[in-house]
Amino acid sequence: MSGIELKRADNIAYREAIPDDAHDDPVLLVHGFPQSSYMWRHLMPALADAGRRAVGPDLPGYGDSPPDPPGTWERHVDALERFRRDVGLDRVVLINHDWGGLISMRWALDHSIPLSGLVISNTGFFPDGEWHGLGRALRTQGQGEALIGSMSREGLADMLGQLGSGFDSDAVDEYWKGYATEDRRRGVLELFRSGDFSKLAPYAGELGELGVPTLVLWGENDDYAPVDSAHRFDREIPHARLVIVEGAGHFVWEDDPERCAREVVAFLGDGG
Amino acid sequence: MPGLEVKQGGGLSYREASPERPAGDDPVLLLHGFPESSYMWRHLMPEIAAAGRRAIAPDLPGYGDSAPDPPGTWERHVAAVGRFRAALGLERAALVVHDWGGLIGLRWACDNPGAASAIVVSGTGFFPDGKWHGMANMLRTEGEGEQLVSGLDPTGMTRMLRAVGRGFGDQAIDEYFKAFTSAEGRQGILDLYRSGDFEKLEPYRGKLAELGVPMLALWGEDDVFAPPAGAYRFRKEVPGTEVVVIEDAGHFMFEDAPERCAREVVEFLGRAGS
Repeated sequence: MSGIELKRADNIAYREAIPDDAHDDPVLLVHGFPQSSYMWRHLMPALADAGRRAVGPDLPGYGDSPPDPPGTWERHVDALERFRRDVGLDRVVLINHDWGGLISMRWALDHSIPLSGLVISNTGFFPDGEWHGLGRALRTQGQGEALIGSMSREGLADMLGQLGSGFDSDAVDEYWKGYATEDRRRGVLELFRSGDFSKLAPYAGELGELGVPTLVLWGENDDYAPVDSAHRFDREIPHARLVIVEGAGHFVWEDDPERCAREVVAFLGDGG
Repeated sequence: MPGLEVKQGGGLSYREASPERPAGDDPVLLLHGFPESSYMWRHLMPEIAAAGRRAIAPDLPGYGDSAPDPPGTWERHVAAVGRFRAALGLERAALVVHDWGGLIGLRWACDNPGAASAIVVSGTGFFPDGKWHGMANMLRTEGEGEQLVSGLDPTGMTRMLRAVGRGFGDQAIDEYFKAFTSAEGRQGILDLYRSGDFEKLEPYRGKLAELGVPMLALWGEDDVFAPPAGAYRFRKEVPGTEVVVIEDAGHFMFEDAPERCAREVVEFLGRAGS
């Protein structure tokens, strides 16, 4: 099994798994909220074993990447493009989750990134999207400050423990980094407050027009990004492959890492 | 200045300030909101007593030093206020309410016409078309609410309160954190929010106006939970309501601007003459 290295490109910390014999396009993995590239710890070695270089950045303000204010959606899109240049990625397979989907799919479309495969998981990319309760509260002036401020490490542990089955103490420590300082908490509010789904109107239909092999991989029991959205991606992207992971929730990569890795590796092997 | 005593009565812990020279007016009953306790009235109560009135403020069940009395629903709190009033023999009182204390206290006042002789409302609502703010919606949602209350520690409580108010000292935060220290208390908070269906106020349409008592709507200009439009809504529903919006104060204006709030309340009660 290949190992994961922790590296840094300019201000962006990232994880990388390198195969002994790379023979296909590398894979770029973009995490969501409130996580970091640590969420890909199970998947990345499996990708390397399948002959793929796997690269997962910590977005600014999460994991080991320092914040780069303001922490808006647009700034994350820019950061991802800078990261791509810094580490020298060209054609990639893109795998994303949650906010990582909103950020990376916008990035791929804005910068006409050549994708040889796309894996979409428990996110959304629809101009008529609506924020879940937590998102709405974080987006509200004052309340968001109160809410993000109320979070403790133990609170995060409780929250993640209720939402998923794969979070051990190391994972909580890792994801707590996103809340640990005032400027990071501010960045979370900036992220959610910049998250107007109406900004996606210009992108309507574009994912489907890419003609990129796509896997829609979804944890079935998700209150944040309900499984309806998986079916919608499946409808809007021609020839997409849909995999609903039963018994998994929003944090599907934590809940059922083996199944997720198997599905992704199989998808890539079939020409994804 | 009269001091505050902490007492027990009607199954609740309460604070009381007694005037040295009673003026013969109705006592004042003060009902706190969430996530506070009668400690929120610590600045106001001595001023009320100095103006010749007895001031009484219970900790609602599960808050401050009052034990939870499950379930912690809106209706149970209304009943608790009724029992407290009976135990203390408060025939008529001027009512001062904030936040959830408003939803509870106004419902109680409408259920018991004659019990309130004047009303001060602040940072609350009482209308069937009301909409919950985002944090309340989270508390009302299965799963999200449990995460929110069980995850709160004293540091988080401190940050949360100081994000929305500038008057919270360490002692206040310790006091208000009491509601979160037991599983029963935390469940009571969820019970409260989850029982807070504004449709329940449908039968109360017009009832506040029918009470025919003087009313003051005292509001923090920067209230992010119950925006100041709520003050004007009270005036629309209850013609003659006085509206005072306090600048540089938010939802927790009794903490943010205690002197100004005390002056407004005491002067209003003097004018109301009940």
